[in-house]
Amino acid sequence: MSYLQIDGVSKQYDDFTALQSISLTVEQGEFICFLGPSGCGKTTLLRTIAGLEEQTTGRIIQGGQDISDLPPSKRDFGIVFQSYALFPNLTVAQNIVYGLKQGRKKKERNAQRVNDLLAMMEIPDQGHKYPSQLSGGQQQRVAVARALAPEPNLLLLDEPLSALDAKVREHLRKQMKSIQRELGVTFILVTHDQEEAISMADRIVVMNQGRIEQVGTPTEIYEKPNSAFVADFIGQMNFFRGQSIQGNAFRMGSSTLKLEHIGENICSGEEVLFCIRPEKVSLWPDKLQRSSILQLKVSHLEFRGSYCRVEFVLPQELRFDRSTLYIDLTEEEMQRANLTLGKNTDVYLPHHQMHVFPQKEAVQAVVAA
Amino acid sequence: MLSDSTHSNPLFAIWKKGTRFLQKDFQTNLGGFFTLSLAVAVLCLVILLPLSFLFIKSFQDQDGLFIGWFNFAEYFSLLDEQGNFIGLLEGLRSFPDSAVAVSLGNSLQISLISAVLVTSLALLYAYGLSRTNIPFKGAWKVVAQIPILAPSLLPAISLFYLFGNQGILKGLLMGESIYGPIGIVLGEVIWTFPHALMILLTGLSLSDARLYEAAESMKVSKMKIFFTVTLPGMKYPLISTFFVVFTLVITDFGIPKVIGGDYSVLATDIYKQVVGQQNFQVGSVIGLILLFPALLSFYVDRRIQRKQVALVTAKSVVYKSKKNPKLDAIFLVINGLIASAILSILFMAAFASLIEFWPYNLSLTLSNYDFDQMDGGSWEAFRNSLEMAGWTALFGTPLIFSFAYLSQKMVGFRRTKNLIHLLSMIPLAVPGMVLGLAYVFFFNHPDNPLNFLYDGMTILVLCTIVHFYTVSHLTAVTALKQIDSEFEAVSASLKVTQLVTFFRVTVPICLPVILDISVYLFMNAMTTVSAVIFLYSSDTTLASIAVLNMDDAGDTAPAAAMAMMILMTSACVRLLHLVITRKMIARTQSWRK
Ligand SMILES: Nc1ncnc2c1ncn2[C@@H]1O[C@H](COP(=O)(O)OP(=O)(O)O)[C@@H](O)[C@H]1O
Ligand SMILES: [Mg+2]
Repeated sequence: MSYLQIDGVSKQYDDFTALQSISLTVEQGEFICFLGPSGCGKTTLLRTIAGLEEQTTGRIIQGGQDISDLPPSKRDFGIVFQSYALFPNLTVAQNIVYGLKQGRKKKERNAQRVNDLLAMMEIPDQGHKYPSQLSGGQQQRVAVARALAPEPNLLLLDEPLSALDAKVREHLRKQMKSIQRELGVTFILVTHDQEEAISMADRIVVMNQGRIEQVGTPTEIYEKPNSAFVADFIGQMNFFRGQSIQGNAFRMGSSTLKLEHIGENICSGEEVLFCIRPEKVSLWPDKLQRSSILQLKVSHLEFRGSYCRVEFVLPQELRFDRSTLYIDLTEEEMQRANLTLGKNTDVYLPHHQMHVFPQKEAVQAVVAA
Repeated sequence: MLSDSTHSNPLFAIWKKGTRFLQKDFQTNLGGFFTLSLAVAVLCLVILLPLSFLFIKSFQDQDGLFIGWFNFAEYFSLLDEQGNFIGLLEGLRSFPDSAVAVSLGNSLQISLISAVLVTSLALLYAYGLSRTNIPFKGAWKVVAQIPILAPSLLPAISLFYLFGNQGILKGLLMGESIYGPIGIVLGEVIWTFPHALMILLTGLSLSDARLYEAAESMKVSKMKIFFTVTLPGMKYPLISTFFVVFTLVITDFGIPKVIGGDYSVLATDIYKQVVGQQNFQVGSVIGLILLFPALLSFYVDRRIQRKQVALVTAKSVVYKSKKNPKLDAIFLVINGLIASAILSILFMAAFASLIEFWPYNLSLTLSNYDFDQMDGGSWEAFRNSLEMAGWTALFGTPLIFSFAYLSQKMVGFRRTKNLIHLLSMIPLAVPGMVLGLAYVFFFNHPDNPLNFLYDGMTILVLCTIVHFYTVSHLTAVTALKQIDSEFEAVSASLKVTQLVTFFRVTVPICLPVILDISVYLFMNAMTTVSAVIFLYSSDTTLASIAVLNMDDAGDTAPAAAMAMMILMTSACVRLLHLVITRKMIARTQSWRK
């Protein structure tokens, strides 16, 4: 049986639905990320798991026990907020032992625990300082240490890194991941930053407008998005229009093509959207795989440091959200392709790298994102 | 099956949800449930129930029998000699000549004039303080705060010495008498000035500097900026000031009593009815009438506060005034004049309290401070005041702060928390005399099991706490709102009870504000007259009451002396407060940013 089962949880605020029958299972020791645009209900779901919000319907089962109606103080979790919520009038050490049993006999053990946690968080010897005397990154680590001090089996983190600058954030990602592995505690981390989710999570829960769009490992989410929203939200994506003919046969402009992976919800004759990631588009034919070929004109070249972004004008009938198709090329590839502005070039779209979704569903999702 | 049909019944679903909700609150947070219920019960007992008694009383005769609108008819002169109703038409015809019409007209007149005067003067003073570079800004601010340290009686007594029949400046009145509207308005202007100034200073400090800077960079004249940028931006604070002052004046009783002469106003009417004629019923009718302007002012203020919050964006920039010697000179004169008016009132009272016999024997003496020799005054009254103010601060502060905490920081219980907040707002709309009268009716009722509270000091302290409840509550709420709202969630996740977090985290963070509240309560308890005028007994006379009684008995100099005692006490407490706060902040500097 799974460690955490969320079963049909909904949350209604007056006439606004923040969560719509969310169901999800989490295994012991997993690192889960809730990922989605701001306002999609990630925080609400996290707070519901903690018991800080009351679900309108649905059950939550943790470690075999139904905790749906328990107050936060009777549930087993630690929590780290975006603001860290460190008590400003207590020192770092006092903050960390706040949730531990106090008493004269426990003093030594608690002090030891503080030292261990501070060492683990790589901020040793900071115990006597007040939170305001620490940097943002150090405060964040204290907040994690405080939440871990009572040894909860579940740690909930709400955008714990979003207030920090990029360098610190990168380091902390690695640190959190390694701590999570070391302790074997189940982590649920909320973020709107896809890079963060991809680099840390065992599984990502992609959310949109109070619903779960997709649950999967980072690779699954990236390689096999099951909706246009996920495809668009995670990583870079080119979209263009087409029609379904029948089964796995499609029309794109004047050519037809057969795709391997298609969802079940595409009807014959329906308007569809194709999508392909910029790095999957090629300028050279590959004998081993079937591709569609488009002859396109270079409209824009932009040097971006480690790679170069090239944009091509799309024919009118293919355009969806933008008028161009873009790809990223390495310096080598740039030299080999010898592209100049206004040049017409063959562009290859490998069929097994293309995704297809019904257009009406995609229009909503892409607009919402 | 039975269960199927009942489950699909929407009523059943609602009932089930309701009971589940209740059950959950009981099970999960029993302590919270009872604490909140207790708070609601206490607030109802000390605010809502007494006021309902006042309301009911105005429809009863002396023996508690329901007599409909009779009391109103009596007060509005709608009865002939036999006590028969003369009819509405007849009543309307004779209304303009009735005593109530005179008092009502007088009250409205002096309140309107005072409100307009104070609002404009305070606006000038505030403008000088925040938009020019005049020197000694700190000193100007301190001087402007002086009237708040004394009961409203003090300016009235000073006016008596300055402009009375023997007054040194009597000539300035050009034959008009100070006893009447002129004296009342002058006294009220001085007494309400600090209140108006505080609102306007806050308003000016909140207005966005970028607008001024834009206007200044376009070389627009200061005058034009004032009328096109400053005034429109100050619309809400100005309206708010106007209504606050209007309410303070229309409900003030001390100044008209001392300097009003025969000029009757609603607030003195209620006093005459209750204390003079023992007619509590008509007293309560006037009390209800006095509630109206206060309620209106309360409503306007609430509306405006909501709008003003939206007006200030997080990106507002603080205004730095540019050099402009001409403007500075003008405002130095304006502020100087206003400040010297306040100072002369203060010095006149101080001087009057220190001389033998005005104006014939001006040699200095302390005999006026020998209160025990005076009719209606005694050092005991002063000690009583200290004691009363002390208890008020000691009990009021923890009570108000913890109730404010409950209304802000309990997890769940949204409706109950809103109810607490709402009840806490009511006292602001209730004039002191009305509250005092309501307390007489409620706590002095022989059948009230709580009438043991109607005992000397206790009832005075209780009434004073409630009278000054709202401002203290709002101060606490503001401070609590600034604390990270997740502290309670974090404590729950760490399995630490909310009570522990309250004492270990919330209270230490809020200590300066808690001190502010206690000083506010203490100072107001020292100076209040209106809230306690119906509630004191012979062995709990207070200093402010003694001022009134000695003045009534013709002992004006001792009255001035007692008023000075109150002022000096308040000033000392205020100074002490400053020192302690500064020390406390310095000591906790390491964690306060
Ligand atoms: N107390 C509340 N009352 C009404 N709406 C709320 C409340 N709390 C959150 N919401 C709404 O629920 C939605 C989801 O909020 P949240 O879970 O905080 O989003 P996220 O964390 O994904 O950015 C938002 O649109 C927000 O406006
Ligand atoms: Mg959020």
